[in-house]
Amino acid sequence: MRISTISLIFVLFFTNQLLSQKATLSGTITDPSGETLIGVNVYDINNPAQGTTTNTYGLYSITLPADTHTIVISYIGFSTQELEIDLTRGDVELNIEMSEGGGIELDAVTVTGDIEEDRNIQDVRMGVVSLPLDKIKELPSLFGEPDPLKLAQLGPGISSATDGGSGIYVRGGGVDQNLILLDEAVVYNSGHILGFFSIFNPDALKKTTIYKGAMPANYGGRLSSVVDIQMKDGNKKHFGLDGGIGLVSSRLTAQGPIVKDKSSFIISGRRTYAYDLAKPFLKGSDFEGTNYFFYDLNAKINHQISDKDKIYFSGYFGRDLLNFTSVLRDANFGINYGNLTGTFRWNHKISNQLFMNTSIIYNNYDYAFESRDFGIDADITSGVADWNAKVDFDYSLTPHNIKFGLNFIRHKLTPNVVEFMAADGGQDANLFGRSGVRYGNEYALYALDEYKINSMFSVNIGIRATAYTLCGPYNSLLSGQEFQQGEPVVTHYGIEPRLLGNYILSDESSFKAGFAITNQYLHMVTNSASSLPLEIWVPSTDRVLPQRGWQASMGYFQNFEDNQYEFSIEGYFRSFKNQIDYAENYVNDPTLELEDQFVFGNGLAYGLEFFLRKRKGDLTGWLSYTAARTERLFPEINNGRPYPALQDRPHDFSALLSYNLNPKWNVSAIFVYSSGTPITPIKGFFIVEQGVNYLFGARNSQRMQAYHRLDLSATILPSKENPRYESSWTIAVYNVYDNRNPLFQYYVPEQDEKTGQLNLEGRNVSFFPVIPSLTWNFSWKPKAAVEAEEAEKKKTGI
Amino acid sequence: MKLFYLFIIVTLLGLFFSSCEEAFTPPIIPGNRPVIVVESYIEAYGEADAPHHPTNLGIIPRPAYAILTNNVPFGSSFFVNNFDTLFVRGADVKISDGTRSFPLTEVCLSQLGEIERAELVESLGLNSADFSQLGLDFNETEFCAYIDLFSNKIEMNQQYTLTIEKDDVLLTATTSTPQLYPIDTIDFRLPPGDSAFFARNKIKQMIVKVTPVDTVTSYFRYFTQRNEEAMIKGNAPLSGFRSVIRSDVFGVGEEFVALPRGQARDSTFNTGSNAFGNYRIKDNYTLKWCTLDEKHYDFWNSTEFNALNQGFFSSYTQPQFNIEGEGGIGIFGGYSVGYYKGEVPKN
Repeated sequence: MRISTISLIFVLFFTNQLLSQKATLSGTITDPSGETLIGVNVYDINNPAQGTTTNTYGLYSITLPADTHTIVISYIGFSTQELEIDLTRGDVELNIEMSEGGGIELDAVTVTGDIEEDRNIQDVRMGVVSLPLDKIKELPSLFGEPDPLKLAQLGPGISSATDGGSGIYVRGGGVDQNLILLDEAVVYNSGHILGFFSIFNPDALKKTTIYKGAMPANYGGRLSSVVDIQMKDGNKKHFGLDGGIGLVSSRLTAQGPIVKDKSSFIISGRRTYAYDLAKPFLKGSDFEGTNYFFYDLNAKINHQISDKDKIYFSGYFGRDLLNFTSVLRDANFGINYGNLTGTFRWNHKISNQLFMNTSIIYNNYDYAFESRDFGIDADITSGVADWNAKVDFDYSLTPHNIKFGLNFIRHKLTPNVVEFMAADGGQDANLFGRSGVRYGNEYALYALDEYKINSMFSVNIGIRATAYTLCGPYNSLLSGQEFQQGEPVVTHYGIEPRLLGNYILSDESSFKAGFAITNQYLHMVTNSASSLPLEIWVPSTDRVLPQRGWQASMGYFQNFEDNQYEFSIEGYFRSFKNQIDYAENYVNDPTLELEDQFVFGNGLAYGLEFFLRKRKGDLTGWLSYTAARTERLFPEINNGRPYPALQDRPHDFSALLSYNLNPKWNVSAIFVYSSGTPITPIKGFFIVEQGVNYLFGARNSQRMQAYHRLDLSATILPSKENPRYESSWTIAVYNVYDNRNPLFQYYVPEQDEKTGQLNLEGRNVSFFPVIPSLTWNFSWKPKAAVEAEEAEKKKTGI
Repeated sequence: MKLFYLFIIVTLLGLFFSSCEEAFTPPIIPGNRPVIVVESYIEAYGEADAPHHPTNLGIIPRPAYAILTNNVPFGSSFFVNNFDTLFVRGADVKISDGTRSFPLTEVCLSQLGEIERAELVESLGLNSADFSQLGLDFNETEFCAYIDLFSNKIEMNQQYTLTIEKDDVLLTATTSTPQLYPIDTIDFRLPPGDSAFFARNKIKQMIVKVTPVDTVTSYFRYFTQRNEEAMIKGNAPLSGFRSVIRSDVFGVGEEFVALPRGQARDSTFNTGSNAFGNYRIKDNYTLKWCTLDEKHYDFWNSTEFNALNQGFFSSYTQPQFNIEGEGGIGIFGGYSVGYYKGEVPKN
């Protein structure tokens, strides 16, 4: 009640101040299939700086003097539209459908500052990456599986966690410090097959935006970055199928209207079959009892209830299943993990300027390891489940664009439940176990104003207030107190100011700066070089303090040759407090309390990022280089001296080039070079009980060899004999020159039989040699859809 | 179509099961000098008439001893033929319980006659399999240790201090011999699973019950011997296949816990060999059951975890030593020991 009153006052204040003799143009912008478009530019041709963009739901609202205006609508990949709008008689509601392709191009001379093409100059935000998902299938990829997160790794300031892995390090942050959202639902584990593929099926995705710098105040809960992924809504005009058949998996997407122009659905699935095909050949081998597969299912429906109300249901369900059963003895193990998300959203247009979205979200990540041997059943389970309720408001008062909202999350964390049971003899009785389900409530309240002060200067000022309460049952090892179900144990608070500023130096250059404080109340702890699935999530408690961080960044942005080329240099410095890790003498002992095995410390990261991109023409692509350092300082690690973090990559270079040879053929190349992953070296060995044991040096004081790789691909679009079918073949070669990039290292004592010399030999283990792949992508649509498109073309003259 | 399948399968199998390994030599860490590695044990057996006292079972009690070696820094040359150069010779080593003190005398196998050599080998628990893992011929290898030649009695529930002086290096360590919590029951059962198969092959699994006396955590380590084979440390599944066990795993002492037979280092886990970790009917078994203090437990827990825990799914673990002083690492470990001998029953 109190919050509603505050919201109302907030709204009325700005309304009275700014609405005199003005009128609002508002509506929804969609593509020809009825799919709403995010981030479309809408501006008055005479005052481009005072424009707006469509929000996550394709809605826009621009308030201008009550006069006649020429409004420009522009979006990459679509024809720019110019509309005469009369606002003299009050507010106008206008839904706009954009046309794909060249079409009505505006004269670059008369349209000063094409905001779409120079968005990197005009946009107040910095450190923002929008992934070109439409291009992703043409690019070379591991096993021919297009992966948005791997594409993101090619950008400056973002690096890969492991060779072939989809985990990302953003500006020195850990894998867990990225807020990965799929239709607003938090994804705690974004990887399949130990992280070699991400769970995101590009066929089902509409837009992927990464905020690696100072994130706006409407995002929170993680220290480092936001990966905001929006699923497609589904074609509102006609039914269609898309899919692909690859070496490892196949995918199929179906979408179409439920009620034409009012509601639609999309369902998209993917499944691997590598082991299913290999099964007959494994018979009689040690792998006979093995099976592995993963699958993803994305589904979404939406319905326009009225001009003012729209609802969405969307969900993701994916799992990895690995089983091994001995054919000779009663021994087996299995790993089963996956994510489940469900999002319900209600969009409500309160007025032409005020838009509200209410979301109820459930997300669950669970991981289970089950094994039986020597008569003991060992079950280890871990996971996170959240119920998330949020209300967000968008209030457009040109030149202000105000967002505010609140958010409540109920966390249920199962850090590491271990159960050992006697499968026989003990009659399945519990031998011992460690449970420790943790409950917590997270609250957030935010407000931000994206304010275009004048044609040169714009800011995004925001603040986010957060709190986290750990709830019982909980036994405090610090105070010895026992807390009952629901009883508050401890509450942590955080105030997070966010500030972004953009000063436009010329039509083609700008200077930006940003600052943000962030808090993270959940921690991921891992004892593994792999990103998954051995990590566990733990909440902040009275002993485990929240992670706190701040980031300051600035950058210079320059475009050349009529925005054909884009260049930027960004620098950042960030600080991390209350980082968590296992002690140096960590031993996985399920009889110990988890919190007894942690140590705590701080970190810092700084770097310079260079980015050069060619956006137009037959040859497109980018070069990116990052020089950066990431350090950690833990009193109980490395004798209290600073050491490089696992994600420390002093040099990171990526090149992505795509060339259209002709309308049928496209060739692409990716080259990656980065400093080797830090490792803790072995100092030597010693012998106890006639066995060789290892002594380790300072943590992360050496590196694996530098990482580099070249991938190539060629895509051919066969002649289109039937307009209802489209298909393409992508031939790709991953790691063309077969560089053995180590995934991890281990050591073995080796004796030279001739000389008797005993050496401790290091072994690099690499998983991915040169890998060719072939993928067939296709799409199909009904005859009616083709006819409708033809009619549209005739109408627009394209 | 068949060819297509074959292409896919060959490609996938090649990739997934033939991950590539390449040897590398990392740079040598500067200033990485050898240190003295201490491996010293004392064993308390209680009163001589105690049922689990080794002498009542025909087992030679182990005297207090210390093996001093140098560690081998990474990158330095170490020749197996010169294994004897690893031993630290000429050190002054003594053990004290606070009121009395006794020296350990340096003895090398090459100084002994055949019988003494055999006795020393047995009493120190040395076995040929472990040596062959190091690329050594057991019968040709020199081995030196500092031994309590007078077999001073080690008491249970007593604290002991080890002192080592070698040139300008002074090392000390303290350990204790906690009260022995004996095994209540030793039993054998068919291993879980295909009972017909195990019955046909006369395979049994050892299970035990232990009742820890109080609520304070106790720490155990166990060794097993089958027939005339060597005594080898165990691999308890409930402890992550390490030889040390916390008392928590026994719950309230009402449950049987499997104690798999220790495996020689050169044995390989073979799913087809169902005697792995088990016994056959009529095998003679010896179980050496020890209690130890927390620091001694931590040493084995961390060292064995360290040895098992390398690779993609793991990180490093620094072994936890209880040796104090510049230039030394290792363990001075006290055990309170009980022995159990018998024959694996048919039923």
